[in-house]
Amino acid sequence: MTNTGSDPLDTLARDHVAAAYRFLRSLVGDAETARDLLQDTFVRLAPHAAAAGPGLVFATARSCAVDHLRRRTSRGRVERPAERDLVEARPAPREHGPDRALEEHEFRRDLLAALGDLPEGQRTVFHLSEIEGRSYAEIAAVLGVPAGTIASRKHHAVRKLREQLGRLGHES
Amino acid sequence: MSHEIDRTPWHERLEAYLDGELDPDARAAFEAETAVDPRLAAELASRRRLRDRTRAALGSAPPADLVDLARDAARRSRDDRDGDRRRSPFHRFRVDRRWAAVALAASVALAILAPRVLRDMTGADGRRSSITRSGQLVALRFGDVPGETIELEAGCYHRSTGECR
Repeated sequence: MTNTGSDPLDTLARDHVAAAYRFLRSLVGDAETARDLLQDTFVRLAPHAAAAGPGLVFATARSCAVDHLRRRTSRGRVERPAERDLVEARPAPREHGPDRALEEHEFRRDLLAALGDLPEGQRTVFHLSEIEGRSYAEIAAVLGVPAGTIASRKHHAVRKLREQLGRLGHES
Repeated sequence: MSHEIDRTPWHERLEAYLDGELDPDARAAFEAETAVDPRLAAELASRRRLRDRTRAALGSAPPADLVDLARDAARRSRDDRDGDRRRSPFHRFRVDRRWAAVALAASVALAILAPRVLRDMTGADGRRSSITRSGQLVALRFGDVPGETIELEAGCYHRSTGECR
């Protein structure tokens, strides 16, 4: 194969890697696993590279993540990588004046941990809607559920996230 | 969203509103309802701040090497698959080979079981005779003639004389 722009794999990777990685990162919680699953995702997509759109990319990434989460659960690993950090993520006292960068770092860490507590379906809905800006119809297709259920799932996901973030001292 | 929107909890409509999923009428109704209630207006503003913060936290550009990483993994997989196809003389018959295996197993089973079935066939008179697949008697029982050809029927046999009970 030539390494030219005409290779559908080039287009596939260029157009979808960023969104697929962010999605996987939200689903599995840690960057290293997300990198591995990103490769798995694109290996699975390779035979369909010419026709793959965002829907197929997200559905394939989700399938890889779900397989990984099942394996992790079956091995008895219930602790998520972010949980260890969560213990240290108690809100810093205001009198210490944490700078904004640190605050945002902690928020991101706590947000990922809170996402990890959501059922996978709600996590998927929240990320694809909130971060990727996908329509409810597109998300429903990725999940294989009626579009009418997406708003409700999103609402429940947001409510739980706000509760969790509020407990950790973030404005929610 | 439809006219049923009025029965939908406000927070659920809030999400649909922010996600641009409300139709114009429902959107206008939501805005009107929220505008007259300071508590709802504050909730909407808070949710917008969380949304902005969440997008900033999780929506950032990923590491630059990921495009190469994903593309190279996919390319290796594709090249391996293509290589396998070129190497294997049977790659065009991948599906057929499965059926060939089934057919082979069925043939072996038939070759093993068929002689036993034939040997165990019992005549209508209750006597058992050992016979070959071609119908030759190979073992003597009372009344049988070695080498005599018989015709087989389900559940009985009879000699070429036509005897069958």
